[in-house]
Amino acid sequence: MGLLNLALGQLLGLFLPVAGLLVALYFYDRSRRRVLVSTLRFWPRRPAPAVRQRHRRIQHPLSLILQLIALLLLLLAIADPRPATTGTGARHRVILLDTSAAIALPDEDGNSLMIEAKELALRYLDRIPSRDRVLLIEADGAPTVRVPFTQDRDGLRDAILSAEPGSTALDLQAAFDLAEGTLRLALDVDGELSPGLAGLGETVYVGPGRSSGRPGRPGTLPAVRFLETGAPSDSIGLLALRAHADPSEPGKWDVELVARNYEASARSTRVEFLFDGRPLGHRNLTIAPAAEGELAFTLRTGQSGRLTARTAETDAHAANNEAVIRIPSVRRTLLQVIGASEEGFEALTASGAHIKPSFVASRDELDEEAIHVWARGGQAGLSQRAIYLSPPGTVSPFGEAGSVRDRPIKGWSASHALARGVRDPDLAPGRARVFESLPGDEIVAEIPEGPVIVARETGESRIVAFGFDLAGESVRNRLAAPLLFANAVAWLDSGAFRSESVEARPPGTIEIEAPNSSREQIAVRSNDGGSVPWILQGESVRFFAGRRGTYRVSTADRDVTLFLSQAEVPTAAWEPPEDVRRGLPAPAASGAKPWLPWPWLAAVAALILLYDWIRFGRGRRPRAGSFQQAEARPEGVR
Amino acid sequence: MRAPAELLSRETLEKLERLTIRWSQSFRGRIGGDIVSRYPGVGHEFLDHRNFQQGDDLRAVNWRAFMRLERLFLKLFRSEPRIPVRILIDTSESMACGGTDPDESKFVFACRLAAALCYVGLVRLETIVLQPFGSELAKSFRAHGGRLRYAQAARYISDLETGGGTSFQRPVRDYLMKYRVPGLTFILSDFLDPAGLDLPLEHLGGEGHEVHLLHLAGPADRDPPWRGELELFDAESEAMMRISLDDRSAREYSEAYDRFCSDLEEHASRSQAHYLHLPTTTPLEQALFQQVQATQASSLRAPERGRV
Repeated sequence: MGLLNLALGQLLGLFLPVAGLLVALYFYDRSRRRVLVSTLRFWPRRPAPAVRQRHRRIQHPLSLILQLIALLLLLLAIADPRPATTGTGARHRVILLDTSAAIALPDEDGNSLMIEAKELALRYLDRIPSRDRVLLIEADGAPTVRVPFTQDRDGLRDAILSAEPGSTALDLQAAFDLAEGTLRLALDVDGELSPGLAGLGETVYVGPGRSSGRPGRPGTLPAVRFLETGAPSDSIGLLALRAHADPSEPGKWDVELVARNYEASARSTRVEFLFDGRPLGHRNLTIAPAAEGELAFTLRTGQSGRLTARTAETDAHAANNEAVIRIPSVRRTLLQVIGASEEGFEALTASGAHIKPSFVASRDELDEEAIHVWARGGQAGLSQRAIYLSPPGTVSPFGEAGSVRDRPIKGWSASHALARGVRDPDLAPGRARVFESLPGDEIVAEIPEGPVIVARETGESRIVAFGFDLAGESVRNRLAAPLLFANAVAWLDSGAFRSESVEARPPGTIEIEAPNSSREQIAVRSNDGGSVPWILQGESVRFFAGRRGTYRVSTADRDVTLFLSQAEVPTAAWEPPEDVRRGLPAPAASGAKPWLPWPWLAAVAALILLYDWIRFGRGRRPRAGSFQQAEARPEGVR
Repeated sequence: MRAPAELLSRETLEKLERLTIRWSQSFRGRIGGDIVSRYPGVGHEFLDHRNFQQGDDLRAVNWRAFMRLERLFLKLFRSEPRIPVRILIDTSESMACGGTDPDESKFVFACRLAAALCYVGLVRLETIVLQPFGSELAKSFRAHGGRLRYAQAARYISDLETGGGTSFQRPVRDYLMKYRVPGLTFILSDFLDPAGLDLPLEHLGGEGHEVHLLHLAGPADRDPPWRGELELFDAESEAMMRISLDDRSAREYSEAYDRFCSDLEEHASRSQAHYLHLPTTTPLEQALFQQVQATQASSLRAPERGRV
């Protein structure tokens, strides 16, 4: 016997204070009763101390005991005691209801697998003893407990009927692991679940048995049943549509389409491609039975738009007949060089295809959105994002401490983004200015006389000053020069050298390659801006997306936009072990509802209180003449 | 407290017709009733002879004896006097106490008992006077003329209410002043007069009244059902007394009440009054047909047929 609503401590914690209050009220109530009598002449006169001594005596102990018993019974009724579920009768059962993407498909006859699975689950519920406690798990890519262990059949039926297919493939092994964990928890078992364990019932999987990669072994679950629905029917489904931006040519996208043939024979289909609703063309795709096929092509566009791929033939699973991604517009980094000619800057600006340099003669032509490069000899000015090349100390934001000649730069701040990858110990500018660094400035490179490369970040403003001219003759031919310039541009514009990918694929466990990325450089966000939990395994970012939607993954040098719109239909059929039972069980011998003692406890408590009220209550009329004389008596006289 | 609207059922009334009110002492000079007096008087049943005395009615002289013995003898006959029956009903506040429900109160029992006595008397063509009293006499009701007058008497009784205290001194004095002809007097009361009943009973007996004390007691009057800390309020004086009532105290109370009843019975005996203790839990018919009849053998009995 256990208490459903209250623990024993809570029960006592409620009973003891209320019982104390009841006793106090009892003493108060019984302390002095007013009675109207015919005469006072026959009543014995007692000395006052005797009266006071008896003042606190319990006059009707039976009444007090009855009230305490009634209170205890009422609290027990509220606590809702239940017969022991781990006894000989009740068992714990787990229903794994398949809610993966595959259950949304019809079978070969066109019947809904979801409806079939629900019917099987409901019939199973009807056949098991009603005293058994059942836990319902919705099994998909990330199995979750829908209804915890309960005897409430109506609640379980409602939960089963309201189940909807998800978008992820079934992870049957995860579902079995979850069932085993909940059974261990409910039965308080640390070791293996032995078959003879009291209270241990079946674990029932209801569905077509199509799971993703993992085999789906029941583990230590001793009793597993498989209620198999029909097999999902699909012909060809588009699994993924990917587009990678070519870093060497802005506006060039490498598009790749992955489709799967679910049938037992080879299939050919025509895949049409559209861009913003306008046909781009079509390709024929032939796929071997139960295999995947790919096709790729190059798309050149500088505009953003929706790239759609769809099969010419539609089948029962319409969600997999089309894949859509949004191609972003080409992003360029605008660079304006002031005070220098194009000669000498070609090597520097050629580091990225997205960098678009322009050379202006006066500051009046400057664009606020561009990165300004104040070249040597020009009149340096203030900019939001700027690179200063050997700026004169009188006109630049950086103070000049002096100048040196042919002095090699030895001190590099390896942790700063500007010095990333620079490994040139012989870099010695012909003439270099030495800066006076201010608090907050980051010294990227220095010589014994002082810093020669300084970066300053103030709010949204970022500027970097080189004490030497990167386009100068002594430096421009060295390997470090374009690298330093590219690092400076990348520091000033974080998207200047990042690659871009967009991809349509099924929800579930997502894995994105993130080489050379630290945890600080990785971010995964959903389309509503919320951060999505992820883990870094090796050089890959892994996260789980259980629902359809748009996600954006940022790594050190790459942005990936994921359109999780496709449905993953696994083809691997679960092969249950031999000890797994199949089909519905025989109807239970005892289908009666479990005996719930709380109504009886409440009824007995009510009867006790009624008896106490009749026998000892103030509403009784044993008082002499009280029924007619109350108005003539002092107030309160009974 | 008011008397109940329905005092006696039809079945009870039918049973009461078998009874008649009798008295134990004879009342001189009263005629016209059903009860034979021990005193000679006008009647039909021969009683005795006695010597003629001057002033005797010549119609009663036994002339045959005079012819034979030449002496005047007077024939004496049994008289059947009509005796007034008066019922005194205590309407003090204490009469409303003593019961656990209204039907067990002394006042309700007294009203029903008075109605029954009234009906028995009316059936025998007696004159019944209903006289309520508390600390003084209230307005009375005289019923005569047979059973048809019972309805008026019942309405009168039903309109009675309790109120005030109990005192026998003044009511008895006023009673003797008001009713100078002796008769049968039933007093229905709990007799809880602090001044006692000695003098009133002596006065009643001294004036020739045949007094019947019907001592009514509620169940709580003798055996208090309460226990614990009590505040007792006197129904009449509203005096209050605090008491811790346990079994011992309750026993002492019952003993005191029993002594009071014994004293009352002794006083009644000394005053040649009849006493009957009637708990209100006693069914009315049982009280009339068994207890009243048994304890007052000459008061209530079935009519003796064949006697003249």
